[in-house]
Amino acid sequence: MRGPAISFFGDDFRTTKMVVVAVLLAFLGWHHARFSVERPEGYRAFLASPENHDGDRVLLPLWEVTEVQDDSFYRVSKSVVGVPIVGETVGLELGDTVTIIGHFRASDGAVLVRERIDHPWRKTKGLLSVLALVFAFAWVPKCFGWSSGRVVLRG
Amino acid sequence: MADLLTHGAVAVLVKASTGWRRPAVFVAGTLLPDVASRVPSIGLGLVHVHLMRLPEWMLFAWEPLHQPFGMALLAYLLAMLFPVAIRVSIFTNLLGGMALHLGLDLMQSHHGAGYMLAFPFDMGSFELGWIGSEATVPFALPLCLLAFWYGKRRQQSFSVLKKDE
Repeated sequence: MRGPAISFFGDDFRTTKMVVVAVLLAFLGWHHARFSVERPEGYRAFLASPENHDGDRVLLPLWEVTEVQDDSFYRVSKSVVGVPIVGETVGLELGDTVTIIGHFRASDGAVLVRERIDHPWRKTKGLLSVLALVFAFAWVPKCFGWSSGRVVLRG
Repeated sequence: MADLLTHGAVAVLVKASTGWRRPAVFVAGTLLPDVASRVPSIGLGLVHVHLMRLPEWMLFAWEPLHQPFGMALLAYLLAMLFPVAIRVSIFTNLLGGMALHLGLDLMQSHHGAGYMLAFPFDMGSFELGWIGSEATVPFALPLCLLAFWYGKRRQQSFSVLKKDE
């Protein structure tokens, strides 16, 4: 290591540098959460002032179907639970994942579907990812260890 | 995000094709964005929808760990846990793996809801939209087998090379 890399990656003030970066990460998380909740667009914002957003475009990517009421009404959930959707329910089952593109209706906060994209592979994708996680956690102790206050590489 | 098995397999293939130094760190870097960001947000999302309402910040606060600036900070934080002699190499391998992860994810289409690449400096989002969000699923297992075979072969030739040195 030479020059700036020594001060950046060196052991001097190691704990301080790590704490500063951890605080920065926490700030980023807080900032992103605030941005997501308070941003003036999207379904959540439309619901806060419905009359200003009647007919506005809504995109709900990868939301879970949590209720199917009849042939033309269902509810989807993610960060907002139970968003009313007006659109065909053919082929929909509880637990399915869908992307909804539609328009906001101010009178009841419903989304009128213009396009529905089904994601039939979503559960398989989740299973594959869980499988990868299991492999990864089993593999971590084989590749990494702990010695004298540092992580060490094994193998 | 592409499925995690595909991410891991692609990381092994890339590392095996470009050299075989610190493959475990590179693969860990590839898995980290989803492990640090998606696992908690999806897990808490399931609790929020099916068990009990959680404060919304708990669902959104993890996202920066799946964005370039947050990834760089996380790679630095983790690299600082290693001995000083290999810290830069650990950092570059972790960050390289994370960049590969993001590159693969960027190829997907979420119909306009892309990835915020410049957060917190810019709130715009981007994605290439070349493939569907589950397009990698049918290829995950074949890719895994290929990665296992090629990685094993590369590891053997690397071991022979090290012995010769």
